[in-house]
Amino acid sequence: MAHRLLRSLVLSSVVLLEGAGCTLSHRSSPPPDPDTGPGGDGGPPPPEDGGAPGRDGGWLDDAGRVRDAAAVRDAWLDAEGPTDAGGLGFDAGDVRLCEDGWPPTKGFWCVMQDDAVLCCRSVFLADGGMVDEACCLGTVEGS
Amino acid sequence: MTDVPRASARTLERVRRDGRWGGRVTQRALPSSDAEVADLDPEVRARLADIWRAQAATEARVATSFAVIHESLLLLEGDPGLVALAARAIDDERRHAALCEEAAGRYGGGVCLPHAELAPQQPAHARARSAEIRRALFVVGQCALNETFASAYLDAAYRGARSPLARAVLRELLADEVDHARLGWAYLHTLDEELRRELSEWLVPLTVCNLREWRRIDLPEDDVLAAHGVPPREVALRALEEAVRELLVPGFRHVGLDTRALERWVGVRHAGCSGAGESGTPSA
Repeated sequence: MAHRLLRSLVLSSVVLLEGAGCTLSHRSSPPPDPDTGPGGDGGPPPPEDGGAPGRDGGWLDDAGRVRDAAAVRDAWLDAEGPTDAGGLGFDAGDVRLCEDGWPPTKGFWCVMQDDAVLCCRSVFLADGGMVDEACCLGTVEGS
Repeated sequence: MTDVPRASARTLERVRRDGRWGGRVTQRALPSSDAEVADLDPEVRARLADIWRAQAATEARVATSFAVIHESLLLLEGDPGLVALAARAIDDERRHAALCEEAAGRYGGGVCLPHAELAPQQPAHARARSAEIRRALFVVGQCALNETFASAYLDAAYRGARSPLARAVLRELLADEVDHARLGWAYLHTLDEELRRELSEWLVPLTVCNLREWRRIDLPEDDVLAAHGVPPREVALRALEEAVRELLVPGFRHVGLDTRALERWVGVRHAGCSGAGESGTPSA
């Protein structure tokens, strides 16, 4: 059964394109063939700045820390997916599984309560600091 | 009275006057909420105020995500319609922050204090084979995945909400998040075969990493709060899992990506595609 949002999100998304209804092409591809649509066999793009491998088979995260295979395994388990990846194009040891994701737009992290003090989870602030409680104290002026 | 804005002045000032609704925070005026809020237990009101204010902070952070998306689309020479929508989305998220503060202020019974300023966060995609692919991954990850999850979450929240105020707020948020997700799906329609092949290899990591962020959301199991737009964690997680199976997988397949690895990961059986026989694993 199709999800109730499938049409709104996916199927009708082409109306956003300026050339809606026309065949469009990404800039790296040759001009679209009006008969066959976009395509081209330009081959894989050359690596420009592909990756930042770390030592011992790990890789460097944004902070320059090396993440190792154990961390990768943890990330995989954290995702609650199968640990036996099989031979279908993904690997439980794939270091890409440990990356940070885009932060959710909905973050109800401010719900811990301790002696009437609402506390945030470890949240990094724009100034580099980290708060445990300040962001949730005093929601309205004068409170 | 609820005519006076309950969002903080600082947050309201960030809403562009030439934005989607001409400087207004919402498309439609929010319903009067004095009576329904007055009937609530003060502790519940305080908790709702804190929750909505916390959401204001995360909404505002996503404005910085969309600044990255806008720049990426410009560098990718993306469709002008999508570039324009990405620019609008930056302001949309600032409006969302103001809207969530408005809800917080109404529940709290005063003008909301400015939300916390959260540090921007984004994936590095250090293993991308080129800067171009990395930018494409940004667009797909933030829009087709993250905003699709957001839409599924809001849809679930809306279905459980009974409060007219909460339903109005959620409806406004959902209307924009749907557009933001569509941006990613529309972008995928414009890609050539080579880039689709590249992105297909990233579907599992993109999904795993984004879903992990969503699973960190802390939600109370409270029917009263659910009526005011805060879904129980179980409900939210179910909506997210459903989104993977019923939106991401068919969506990526629809735009021509190879979803077999993703399907294997989510344990979805699919038929009718090339090589599907081996990919159809029993449901988890």
